[in-house]
Amino acid sequence: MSFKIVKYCMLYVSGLLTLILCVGITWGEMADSQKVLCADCHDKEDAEMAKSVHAAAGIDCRTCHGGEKIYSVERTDLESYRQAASEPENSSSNKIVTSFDHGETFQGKPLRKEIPERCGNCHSDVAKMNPYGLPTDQLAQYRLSGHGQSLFTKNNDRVAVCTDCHDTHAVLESKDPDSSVCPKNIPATCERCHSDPSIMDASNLSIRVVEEYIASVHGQGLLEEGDMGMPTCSTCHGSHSAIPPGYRDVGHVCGRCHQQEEQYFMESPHAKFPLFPRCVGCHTRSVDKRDHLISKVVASPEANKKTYLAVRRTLPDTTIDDSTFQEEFVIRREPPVQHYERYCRHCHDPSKQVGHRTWFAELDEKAMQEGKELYQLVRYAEIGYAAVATRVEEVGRGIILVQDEALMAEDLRTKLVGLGTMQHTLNLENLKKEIDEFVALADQIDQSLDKKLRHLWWRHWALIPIWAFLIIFTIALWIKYKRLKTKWVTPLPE
Amino acid sequence: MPLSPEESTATRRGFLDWIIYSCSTILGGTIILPAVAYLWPVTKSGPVKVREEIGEAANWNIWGAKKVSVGNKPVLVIRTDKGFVAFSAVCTHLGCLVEFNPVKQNIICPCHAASFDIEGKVEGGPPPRPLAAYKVSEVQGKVFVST
Amino acid sequence: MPGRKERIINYFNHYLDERYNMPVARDFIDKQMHKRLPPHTGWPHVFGSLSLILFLSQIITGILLLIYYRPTPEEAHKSIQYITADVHFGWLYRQVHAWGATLMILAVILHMARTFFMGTYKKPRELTWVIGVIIFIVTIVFGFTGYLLPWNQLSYWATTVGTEISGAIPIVGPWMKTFILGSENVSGETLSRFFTVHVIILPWILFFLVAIHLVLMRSQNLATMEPVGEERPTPPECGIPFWPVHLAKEGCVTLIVLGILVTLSVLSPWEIGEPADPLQTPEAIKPEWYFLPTYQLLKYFTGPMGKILGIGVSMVPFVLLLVWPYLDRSKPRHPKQRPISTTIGVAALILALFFGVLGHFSESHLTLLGQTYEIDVYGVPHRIDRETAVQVGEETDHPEKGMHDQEHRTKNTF
Repeated sequence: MSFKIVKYCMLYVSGLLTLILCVGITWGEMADSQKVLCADCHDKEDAEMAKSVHAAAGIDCRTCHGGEKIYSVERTDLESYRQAASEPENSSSNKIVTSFDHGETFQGKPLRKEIPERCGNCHSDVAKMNPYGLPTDQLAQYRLSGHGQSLFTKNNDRVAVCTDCHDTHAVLESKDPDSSVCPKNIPATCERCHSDPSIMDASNLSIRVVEEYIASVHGQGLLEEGDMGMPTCSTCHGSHSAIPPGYRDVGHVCGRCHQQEEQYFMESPHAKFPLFPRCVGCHTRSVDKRDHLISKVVASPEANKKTYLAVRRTLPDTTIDDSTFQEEFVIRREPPVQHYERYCRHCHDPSKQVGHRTWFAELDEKAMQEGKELYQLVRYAEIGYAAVATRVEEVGRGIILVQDEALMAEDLRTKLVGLGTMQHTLNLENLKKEIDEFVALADQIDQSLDKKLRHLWWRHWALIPIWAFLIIFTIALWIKYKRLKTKWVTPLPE
Repeated sequence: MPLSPEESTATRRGFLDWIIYSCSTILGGTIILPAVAYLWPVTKSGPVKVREEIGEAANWNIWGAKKVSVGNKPVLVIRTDKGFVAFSAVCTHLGCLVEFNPVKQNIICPCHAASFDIEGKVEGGPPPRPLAAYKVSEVQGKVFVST
Repeated sequence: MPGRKERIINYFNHYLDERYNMPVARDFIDKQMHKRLPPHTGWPHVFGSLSLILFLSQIITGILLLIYYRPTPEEAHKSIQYITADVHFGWLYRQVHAWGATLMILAVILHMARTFFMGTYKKPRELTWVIGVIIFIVTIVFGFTGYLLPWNQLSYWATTVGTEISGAIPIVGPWMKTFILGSENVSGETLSRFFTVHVIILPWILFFLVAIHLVLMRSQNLATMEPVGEERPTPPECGIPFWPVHLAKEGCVTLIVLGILVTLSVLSPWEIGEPADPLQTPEAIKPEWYFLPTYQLLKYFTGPMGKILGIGVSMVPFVLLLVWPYLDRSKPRHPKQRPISTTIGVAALILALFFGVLGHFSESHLTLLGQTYEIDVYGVPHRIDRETAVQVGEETDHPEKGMHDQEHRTKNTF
């Protein structure tokens, strides 16, 4: 019995002692130190981080910065630390004064040079990335890129590192429309550095590339028309392995989308010259390889039809074979035509014929001549299709059916679009053959329509016998009426 | 022998009446005959074609293709080893007319070297969408395409 | 010995005589056929019978078209194409039907004008006039419903704009518009409704109206030009017998009109047009000529109250026409003896012509004597010459104008 009491007493005393101890310790702790989380001081970074795809994947500060989850901080110092953390960019210089020991594993804010590898810790790890279906070669690609080369071999940290494009803490998926690496936002993201002379001058890069891109057919398509199929900066330059393609590669880069054009171009005489600037040789304003203003040159057959109608309204008395009509069409064409003179002269310029270039004076002449023919052939086809297709529509709107002609006009349209790509061969012989087929088909459509319209003529001619008959009948009836009247009706007495 | 005035008047009147009667007959005829012709059925086809006959299956090789107009739209009909298939012949890229390539047994667009497989799906090139498919049916040896 | 022909006729006469009171019927037909019209019956009197002949032509061509026409949005336009391109003489019947409608309305209007200026609507023929006015309105509704049936862009959008007007009537307007269209906007339901009205309801209404009109006309005979109550009976031998004399004259007119109808059909055919596209409004849609005066008049009334006012104002001519015999109770018939009526009639015709011409040329460009004019919604021409254009713009520019313009445009584009 007494043993039992002793046992209870001991339990009681030990419980009391524990309680006192706990209260005491807590009291002491509360007096001079406090437990804090990263967010208690770095609230801005934490808020950004919370939006990111990393937070959603359960990654916290320690993954990149090391350190502890919870810190004990002297209460009296906390306010000053907080203030220091909220002041940007001076924390590194006064690190010791404004912060406390974040622990042995703490790595702090990485230097710009360290960032790619810091990200690579996870992003090059196949085991970590596989569950998300992400590639792991970004770091390897980055090392090869212009940015990476400059950073790692030239020790120049004024180049884009991961955080410049993807944001430091608010890293979003590229499909997120708010993300700085969403295709439509990429031009603006690149522009941050690539329009800044203080950065670009060092590498002798143009500061106008993005501006030019935005004005180009690709930029307009992506940003104005919202066509997500349009290439953005990274489509041609690569995203992590960003590097400008060389002259020889431009064709391949463009050819990823413009496949048929590239194939045809490789057949052309220009493809044989290693120094020929490929696509940009003709499709930019100058042969400057840095010119990103690739202007729209292709007018859709439908747009050409509109132009054709407008020209016909202004010049009602001319036919499409008249030069005035063709000139007016070229003036009104939307988008404007690039005149062959302009781009062929980039290289085939007789005024540049100095020194041994004079040997090629004859070649220049021939090139300009062929350029002119090519130019005229394609213009003629454009106008020709517009005229024939418009005629088919107009006749069909009248009183005859043009089903067959409409189908042939579709074929003609196919030939026209095909000509546009085929002209990249610069093979005048082949093109002339194509044009001959084109014209033959157009004539066939015209003749078929003529034939159908001729069938309407007999209706017109039939009016002559009809009226002859009606007049004879009417006169006969009229004479009859007069006779009947004299026979039946007595004139009114005056 | 000269006619008396009454006789000549009678002849003139008779001639006038003859003109009027024959003209009336002609007029009646020209009004009724076109109406009969109008009612005569045009056996070629009805006003609206939901289904178009495009030929006999017997005259059609396997891996043979034909471009036809069904309801004013160009349609490409191909006989595969598993039967007939039909697709809209308008390329989904820029509206060129596609062709069947019997060598590779796929459908190609000559404008930008696009290719579609025998189910109309894009194999390569710039087209954003597959070709629209049409229904083909074979009834008593004749091939029909329905829109 | 009677020939075979006589024998057959005798047999039928005998057959009928045995069963019906044929002498009375024969007497009636004989009387009607040989009835004598007043001696002054002249050329202006042909428009009435011309309207009747055109109505018959419309019935015949209409029935023929009905054989191949299909009143659904999917098939309507295609079946019109088929009629025009494939069916033997289909083009002819379609054209004659379309032109016949136009000529019929013209004939009805000319017939009404003749009746008005000759004062023949006066006692005792007031009801004949009232029924005639109803016939005129029915004819116009005929034109409106038939216009939609080809289901092309023009007909679709003209109907859209036309039915919009009824939507502006207060309280019942929106309900009425939906009732007319069968849905919120012009659709397959509208086509079915218009088709039914055009080929079943209106033809029978018009048939009975015309029948009553003719019975009243025959029973009261044609009016003479003497003032009301002072008519002197003409000696019977001076009148013109309906058969064969008057009909011979009618025959001449009919033949000429038939020729005109065929000529118009061949030389100025109505186009098939593009199939109706509810998503694309064509530019400057205009109604048919007989709606142009009303259409133009309505443009000057804008704003919510203006619309109602406009509908009210455009109803006035029709109401006036209906009650005119009861407003004008004066005796004389000759136009020179009743200057006020004549002036009102001429003024109304000139006004209608004026608004019609304005409506025709509004929203278009006109080149006259080497000068190009841009004609605005209200039919006011502006010379296209930068300086003058600005001046004219300033003169006519009052603050509301821009608003009106915009509102009109939204109405058109719907």
